[in-house]
Formats: sequence, structure tokens, C-alpha cells
Amino acid sequence: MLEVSGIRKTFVQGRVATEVIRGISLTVADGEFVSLIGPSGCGKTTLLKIVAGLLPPTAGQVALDGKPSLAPSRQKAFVFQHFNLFPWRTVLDNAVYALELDGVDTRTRAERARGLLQGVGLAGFEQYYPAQISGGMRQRVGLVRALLLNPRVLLMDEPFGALDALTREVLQGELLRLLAATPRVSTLFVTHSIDEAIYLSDRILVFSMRPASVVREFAVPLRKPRYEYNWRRDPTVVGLREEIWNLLREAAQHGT
Amino acid sequence: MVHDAPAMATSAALPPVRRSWRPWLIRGVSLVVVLGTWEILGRRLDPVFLASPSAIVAAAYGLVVRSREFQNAIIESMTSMVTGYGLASGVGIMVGFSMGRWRTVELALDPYVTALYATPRVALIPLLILWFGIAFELRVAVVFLSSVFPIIINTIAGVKHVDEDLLETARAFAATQAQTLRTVILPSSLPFIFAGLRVGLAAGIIGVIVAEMTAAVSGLGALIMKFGNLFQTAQLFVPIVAIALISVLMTWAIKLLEQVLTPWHRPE
Repeated sequence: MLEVSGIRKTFVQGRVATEVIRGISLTVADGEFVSLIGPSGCGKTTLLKIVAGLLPPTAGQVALDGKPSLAPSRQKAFVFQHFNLFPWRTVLDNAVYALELDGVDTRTRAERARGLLQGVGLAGFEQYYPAQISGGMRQRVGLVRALLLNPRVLLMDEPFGALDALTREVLQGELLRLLAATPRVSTLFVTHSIDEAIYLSDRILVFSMRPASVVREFAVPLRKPRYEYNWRRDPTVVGLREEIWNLLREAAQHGT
Repeated sequence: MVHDAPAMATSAALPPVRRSWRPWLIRGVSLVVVLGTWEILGRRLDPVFLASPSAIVAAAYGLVVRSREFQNAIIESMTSMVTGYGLASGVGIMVGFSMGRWRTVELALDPYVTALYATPRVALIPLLILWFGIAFELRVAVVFLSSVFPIIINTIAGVKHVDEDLLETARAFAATQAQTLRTVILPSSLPFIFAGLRVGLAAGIIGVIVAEMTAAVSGLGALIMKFGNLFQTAQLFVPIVAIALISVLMTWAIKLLEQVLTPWHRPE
């Protein structure tokens, strides 16, 4: 279980202090998928980076299975908005990056990657460089790179935000399938898209404008697996979408 | 490079290199025209003023096959070149890496690097003769000083040019300092390092020839001076062509090494 408690973050630049996060606490249970949604620039990504250990919080604690976890760790895998693949590594070598850091030998690495690469349609592309494949394929590599670690926590920062609408939808489905096969992982997912949050999440946390705090929490009562039926037609979705949308609009107006 | 490319990757794939005979035809015609004109002019002019290509080939044959002096000169120039350039590559990459990576090292060494890079290194030859004599050590020192600064400066640029997002990625996966150096900073700066190696090579070749011409005891540079002083124009061209060939060969070798080490990076 991932526990985030009392996180505050203030950036100080010279004599100017900017308060970005004002006290956020949340928990993500094993196997749970929680989305963070809020106006742009509200500090969602900052929170995600604090959880990853990429930024130190001004105050607060991050704990994983009860133990403090404020530093980067290979138990917490990150998927980046702009993929962040290494251009000098092939698809395979990018995918197994974390295994390589763990000292796993070349053959074992390739064996462990094979299944996941095949699962996202990257079989046959192992020796390609990132510059030679499409954006959707690059983010599939990013997903495989994160999941190959067998992480306890999956942190995703608008991972499909840089993709076209159709590719995004395909990747959302693939993500749900992959996560169904890794039941213990806790996912924290930052997004701008209400529909994406509804489709993927067990719970959605709506953030306020900066300094960020959680305005409201929604449980998504849709039946799983959601990629097997047209969830958009479900009557609860319409109400949920409108409620979240109103909250976001209000938050955005408050800020300006 | 890419084998059995499935159809869906082709849109994003780099365009294949087209192999064609046309560039070679154009090069060939150009060479025939220029060398032909040179031959015709050379035969009409005073042979001291300009030697014809055929006279140079004849002189080259005589020198390469029969003259111990010429063979020794090539060996001497090459060994000092390879030694000095090899040292400069090793030292340059290490110093450049340290300067790019650690601010303290950069602040400490930057004044010397900047000052020496701005000084034409050949101006130091008289001083270097006092320190190293006029033989092998002098040439190695001049080649080293000529090559090392472009290599240092390009390596620094490469190390500093590393994409912050990729450094963050390595950090997110909890890579150690050493792992980050090996998996991110080194590969990312390789194209820059090779740019430095190419510039350093050209500077090193100039260095060795100028050193030999100044000290004028041995090597291809000394031969150039000797034939010049003797007005043996055809022979004079032979060491010049030899230098050009060595230069081209070493540049090719560097290019080949770069292609092997940076297969993801295809310039042009």
C-alpha cells in the first residue's frame, strides 16, 4: 500500500516563494488505480515526482508498505509524458533498462522482456531505435520498461497526453490488460482527461488550483473489465463526468 | 541496419541510404578533368614552378621504393602522430568529462584551457624545443597540445548537453552515479566527443608537420623543407600527398569507429 501524508511543497527561487502543494494526503491500496485530475499547473506532476523521490517535499511523508520511501527506488516505476526513452538504446535495451541496473544478465533480461513486449505488439521491433518507431510504440516501451521491474507502485504522468486520440484509447485498453495481470501494483495516474480518469480509475481525486489540495474524491462504480463493454453509455458515467467537470471549472475560476 | 522491417514501422523509420553509381561518375569525371588540365599545364611550365602529376607519380615511385629516407620519414611522422593523438584523446576525454561533470574542476582548469586554446600552439614550438629537444618527444608534445584542446572543449559541451529529462529518468529508476555516467552521460556525449576527435586529428596533423618543418631533422615535414630548398618540385609533392593520404585514412578510421559506437546517431 502506498501512503502519502501531509505533503507540502513550496518552491523558493531567490526571494520569491511559491506554494505549490498545500497539504495532500492519500492512500493507494494494492491493485488500486487512483487518478489525479485538476487544472493545468496545479501541482499534480509535482506531487507525482515527490512520490517518485525525484523532488523532496517541504513537509510530509511517503510510505510504501509502512516503510518511509522518500528516495527513488525500483519498487516505484515511473512512466513519463514524453516517454523519455534513451535514443541510443534499442527497444529491447530500453525496456530492460531497470533490470540491467539490477545486474540481471543479458540473456535473462531478454527472456523476461519477451512476454511483455509481445503483449503490447512490439515483438519483431526489439532491435529498433526509438527514432524509428511511432509515439504509441514508444510509450508501449515506456510501459514495459516500468512493468518489467515488478514494481509495487506505478506512477504515470499524463502518459498518453502526447498521443493522438485513437492511439490513446488503444493504449488505455492495453494498460488495463497489463494491470489485470499484475494484481498487486498500486497506480497513481495524473491526467487532464475526465474520460480517461473514469475509464481507468477505481478512484478519482480532483485537485484545486495552486496551491493544490484535494477538493473531492470520487469512486468509479463501473464494472470491470471495462475494455469489454461500452462504458461510455453507462448512466453513472454521464453524471460523474458532469460533476467532475463542474468542479474543475470552479477550481479554474477560483485560481484566476 | 534494419532487417525485415514490418510495414507499420516504415512511416517513422529513417529513410534508407540510396546507393547509386552517379556520385562516383561525377567524382570520376571531375578528377579526370582537373588532373588532365594540371598535367597539360605542368608539362608546359618550368618543372621547378609546377610539377605535372605524371612527374609526381614517377618521383613517388622512386622515393617510396628506393629511398630509405622517405620510408623512415613516414614511419617517424606516423608514430609521433599516433602517440601524441592517442595521448590527447585519452587525456582530453577524461579532462573534458571531469570539467563537464564537476563545477569545481571546471573552475580550476578553465583559465588554462581557454588561454591555451586561444594561443596558436605552433607559437610554443621554440619553447617546446628547449624542453623536449628536436626529435620524437618534441613532435609528440606538439601533436598532443594541438589535439587535446578541441577534444576537451567538445567533450565538455557533450557532457553539459545531456538531456535533463533523461538524467531524471535514470534517477527515477534509482541508477547510481556510476550507472548514470555509463548509461546516460557517456552515450549522450559520444557524438560530441567524436566531433572533438575529428577536429583534434586535423589539428594534430598540422602540429606534427609544423614541428618537423621547424626542427627540420626528420619526418615528412623535414622532407618537404629539404625538397623545397633543393627546388625538387616533383619530389616536394610526394610528402604532401602522403600527408593528405594519412590524414584521409585516419579521418576514415575515426568515422568508422564513430559509426560502430553510435549506431543510433546518423548525421546528414
